[in-house]
Amino acid sequence: MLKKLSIAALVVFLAIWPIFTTNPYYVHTAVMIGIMVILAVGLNLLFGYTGQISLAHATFYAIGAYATSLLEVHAGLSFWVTTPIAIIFAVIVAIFIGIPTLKLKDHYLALATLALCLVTTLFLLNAKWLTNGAEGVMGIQAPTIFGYPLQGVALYYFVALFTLIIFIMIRNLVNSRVGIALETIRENEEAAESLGVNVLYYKVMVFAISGALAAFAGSIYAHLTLFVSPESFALPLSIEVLVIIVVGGLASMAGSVVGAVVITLLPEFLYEFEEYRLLVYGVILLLVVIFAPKGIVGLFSSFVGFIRGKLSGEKVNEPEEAAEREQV
Amino acid sequence: MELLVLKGVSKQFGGLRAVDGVSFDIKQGDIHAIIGPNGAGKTTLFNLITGVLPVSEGEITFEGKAIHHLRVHQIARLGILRTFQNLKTFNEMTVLQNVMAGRYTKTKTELGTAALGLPWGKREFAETRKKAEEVLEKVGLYHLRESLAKNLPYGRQRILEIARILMAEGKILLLDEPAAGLNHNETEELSVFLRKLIDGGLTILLVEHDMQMVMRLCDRITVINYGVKIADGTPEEVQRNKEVIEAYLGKGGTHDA
Repeated sequence: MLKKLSIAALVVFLAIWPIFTTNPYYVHTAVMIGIMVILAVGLNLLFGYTGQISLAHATFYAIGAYATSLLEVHAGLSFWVTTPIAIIFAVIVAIFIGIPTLKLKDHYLALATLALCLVTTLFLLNAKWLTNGAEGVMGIQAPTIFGYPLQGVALYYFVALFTLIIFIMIRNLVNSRVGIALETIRENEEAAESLGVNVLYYKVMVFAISGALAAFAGSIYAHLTLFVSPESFALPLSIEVLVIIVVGGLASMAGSVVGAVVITLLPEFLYEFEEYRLLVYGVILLLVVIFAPKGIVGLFSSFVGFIRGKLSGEKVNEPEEAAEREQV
Repeated sequence: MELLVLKGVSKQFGGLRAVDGVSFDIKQGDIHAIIGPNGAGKTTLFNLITGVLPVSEGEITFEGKAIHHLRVHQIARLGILRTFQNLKTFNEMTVLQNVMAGRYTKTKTELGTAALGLPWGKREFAETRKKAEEVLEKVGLYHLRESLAKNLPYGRQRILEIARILMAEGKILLLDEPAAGLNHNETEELSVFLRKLIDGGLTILLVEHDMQMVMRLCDRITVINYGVKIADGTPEEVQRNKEVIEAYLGKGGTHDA
């Protein structure tokens, strides 16, 4: 009940706050948060739930941003046509790359996807005939809907709506037969397979889904900034998304959102440290891994559990303690 | 009726023949044990049946159909489920989720249905949950359903693995040393429990070192040594077999199992 009320309150807040602001920078930041939530939800599905690390998230983000921009600038196609094309292209790339690489595990998978991420940056910088190199792609137009341009607050509502839809769909997915199967893959592939789960199929599908979401986010990004250049799609972006889900909470839907909000807003508070952004991420990551391995959401739920325990006088985490008692 | 038939099954690891021309069959409704000294090739045999390892030579048929070319998850879908000698519970998942995972082959919800949150997917998931609670009740783990699997004591994790494959309502269960790490009482309970499963129409193939349990519980026993089958029969027949006594129990000695 309390949970439903607070979710309702949050939705209402997200729907009406732009009315009370005139500062376009806030709206821009809110759209950025939406983009990061979409990226994080996809990576959390892949890494948090299914246990497959990827440092190639920036690659799919780049595919979304560049494919839509280039098709628009050179072929004159609209956002509504280029975005599905970019998503399909990302899915195809994910499947082709996923089949060989997802047979790798842990560090090897991290290295393979890291390589993909670095190759992407080199490609964007050097394939000047296509990407215009370091100068980037200009001349992207804001998409229009019924003749009305999707920018500023309108773009915010568009992104908020799609972020919500994506969030609900992925939440449905993880709370289903498929979600359980994905977690068994993370926990023990051999056992998962022995229960009938086609492990490689699900790994490739989830890689494709997270790639598709990243491409969608990339398309939105391109139409927010109306300019794309290689540095926005380099390794730091992959790492940033990874930091978001670890800080927020792995295998937690709320974690993706909380992490995206915190990590996106952080530079606003620490902008003197802009140069050291990755260093700050490193320190945060280290602290979270050591002191709050389940992320902010994990900390919060243990805190709530603790308070509830105090209030009711009952023990916290009762079943686990029961198990420990039996062990003795 | 023969449910599972092995014909001249061999497995070669480089120069080592871990399983060498083993043939036997498992009858519907039996509790069938594979015994043999350590390193005799029992677990390898399990891995061959379940498709974890490819068969080098020979043929394995299940309900009359060859299965030795199928992949692990395809074999599971036929109703052949297994537990592992070194437990493979899903540690960071709850006991309830562990058991729910076992329902995979009996349920259908796929990616699209799940993501859209369609009602039949949700209904199926709710049924799986209910079923899992029933199974947990039956094996006495219901009160621990919200614990993470890794927090369970060893013996309970073994039970959890069995509960997990019960959810699949398969045709044959392959249990790799189910009594390992259990104390006397727990072993006793396990035997009773396995008997009940057989009465419910299941067939069980198990690898076990607890001779008392094997002799009392099993309908048939296959003995292998150095990858070769040396005897096959009822517990009485196997106990009388000279080769078994020599190779497995030791010449003229009593075993210490």
